Amino acid sequence: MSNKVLIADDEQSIRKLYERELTREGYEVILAASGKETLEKVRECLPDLVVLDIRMPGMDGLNVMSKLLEENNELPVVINSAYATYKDSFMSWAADAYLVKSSDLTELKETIDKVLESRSVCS
Amino acid sequence: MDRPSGHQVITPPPKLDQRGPRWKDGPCRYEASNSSHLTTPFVDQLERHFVFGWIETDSEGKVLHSSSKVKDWFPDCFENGISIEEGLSACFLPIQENDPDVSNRIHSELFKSLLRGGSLRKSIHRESAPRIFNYLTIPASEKTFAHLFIDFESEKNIAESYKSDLKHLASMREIIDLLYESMSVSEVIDLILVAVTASRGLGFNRAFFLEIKDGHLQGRRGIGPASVDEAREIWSQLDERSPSLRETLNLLSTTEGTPDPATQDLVKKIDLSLIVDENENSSSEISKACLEMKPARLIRDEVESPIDNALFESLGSSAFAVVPLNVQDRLAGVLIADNFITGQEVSEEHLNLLRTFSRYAAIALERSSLLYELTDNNHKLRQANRELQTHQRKLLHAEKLSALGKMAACVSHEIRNPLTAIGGLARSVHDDESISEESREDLKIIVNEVERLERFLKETLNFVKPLSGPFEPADVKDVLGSVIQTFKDSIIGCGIDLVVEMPEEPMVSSLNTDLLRGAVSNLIKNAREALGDQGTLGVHVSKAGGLAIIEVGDTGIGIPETIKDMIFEPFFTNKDDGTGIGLAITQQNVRGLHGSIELTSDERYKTLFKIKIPL
Repeated sequence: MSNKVLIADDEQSIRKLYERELTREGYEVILAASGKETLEKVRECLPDLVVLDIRMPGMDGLNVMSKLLEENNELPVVINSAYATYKDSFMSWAADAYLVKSSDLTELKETIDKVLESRSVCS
Repeated sequence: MDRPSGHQVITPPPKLDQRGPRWKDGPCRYEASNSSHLTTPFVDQLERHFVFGWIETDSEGKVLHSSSKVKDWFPDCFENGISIEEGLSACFLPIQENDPDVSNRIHSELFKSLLRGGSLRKSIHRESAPRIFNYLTIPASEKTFAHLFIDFESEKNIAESYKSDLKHLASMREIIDLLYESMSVSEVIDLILVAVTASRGLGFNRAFFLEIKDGHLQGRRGIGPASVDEAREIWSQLDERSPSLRETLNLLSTTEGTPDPATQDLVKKIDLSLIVDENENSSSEISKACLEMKPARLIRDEVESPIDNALFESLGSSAFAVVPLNVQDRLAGVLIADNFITGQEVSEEHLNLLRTFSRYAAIALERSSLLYELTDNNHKLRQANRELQTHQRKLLHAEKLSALGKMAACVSHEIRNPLTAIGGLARSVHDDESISEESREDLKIIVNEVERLERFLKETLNFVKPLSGPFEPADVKDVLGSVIQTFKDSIIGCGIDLVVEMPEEPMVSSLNTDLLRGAVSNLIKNAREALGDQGTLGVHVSKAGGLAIIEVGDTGIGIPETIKDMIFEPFFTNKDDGTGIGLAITQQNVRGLHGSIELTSDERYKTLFKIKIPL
């Protein structure tokens, strides 16, 4: 069974790109356009990993992450932001990885693989 | 012209009867008279100003009256009624006509004018104590003659005193000329002291300059011999050379340290409080002189105040002159002059000369200290101006950084998201096997350009938020080795010679290796780009004085002088596709390592960046 990855990003073009690339990588991709939607979809679809944008209208990524981890602190979260600035924010420490957005998705794909792999070993 | 030519004309004493026919009335008989024709206000005046005596005789040459001076000089020789010839032969010896000693004497102009009426003059020696008198005979009235005796020595003394005044005036002029030339305070002080002590100047034995500081009189400079032996030696040397004031002054300034070390030591010990103790009854003459700004003569045995006594004690002299040097009410210092060696007293005349001199000296002193202040202030102003410029540059730099930061934060999100989508989708399509080769090439261009934009964003953001990893002990050589390894292939691949020099021993320092790596990578990258496909790229590492010195050089065309100052500025670039951030980041990284970076060049490398970081 393929791993379910939830992509939370308010920009449609990004969502489209990630969906296409991650599907190509063999993941089942779930999309959320806001923080609120993210929380709903996570509860509903139970993804194996969440790729979270920080700057989103309404609830921002870091708040979403803390809510997600309150409900399930085992859920792997990869922060994927256009900002490098939040890397040092202590909120970010809770994430499994912090990636700055890039048109080259190689790093993102590798990171998702790696995080999922380590989780499957642990569990 | 009836005035004697050139030298004094000396004639032998005439016979009185030979003189007779010269007068219109012919020889006259003596007529007794109670008062002389010569007791007139005019003669009195003459007598007062010139040292001369007179005798009035009748036409026969019998003495009628004689002045008190004559009675004084020649007691009993010219009693009334006695023949003048007799008296003269008793008192005087005729002078040889061509005696050069006498004939060269200058004759008083006044008496030359008296002679215009036609009279006889002669100079005579008195037998006992040789003394030269001018003697002349002129008609005093219709019936009497005046015989005048002028004390030649006195006349000469007056001339001498004029000459000496002239000499003083000349040296005063020389001193004043020199004072005007002197620029620095110490030069002026030296000149003042030389002028006071030089034989061509005021001729004192020693002179001291004391400064006034917080109510204290402090010795600053002193010249003059410290002992009789020293005096003999110095003065004989000076006599031989007979230097001008200027020469003496030059001598002083070329002498190492001080010319009279013992005297200088002595003056340096002087430190007197001018503030008079209220309980003290006797007031200090020195304090008074300073307060009233009037020169004074002090004699050791006469002073009572402890301050004055202390100064006498310090100087060891028995008398000295105190001359305040003031311009209006500002006291610039105090001059002390004494005759320590010769013991000669300080005469009123000398004090007057000192007083005159002190005015010029004070002005010169004031002028030189104002000049010093002016130069000093000018210097400070320039310094301040330089600092201001530096601060302004720093401010500009900071402003640019802040603008950069705001811009970066603002645009990064706005630009990075679309870029990620554009580039990512282009990449995605690029990898699609179904598209044509032509489209693939176009997409490749999109992918590359997006990468370039992303690189720019990354560099900008790195600069705004520099790497802030930990400082840990690391070997500088290892860090550089790994950086060089990264670039090695691309450098050599381009056809560039790579020269690396590192010392054998390890160079361990507490470092943030990311900062160092970033800085050096940037320099190597720049050098490689500057060289193109030929030349030499050098990385030289050395150790000096607790610093690691990392030099990255290239043999390219170098950096033009005009832009050297700007290369570390953010956004400054001379490359077509440069971001203008690279060297700014490099500098920031080096500063983060508590080091410094400078741009230079040498015979080998046209462009040479030198990084120094503490080890």
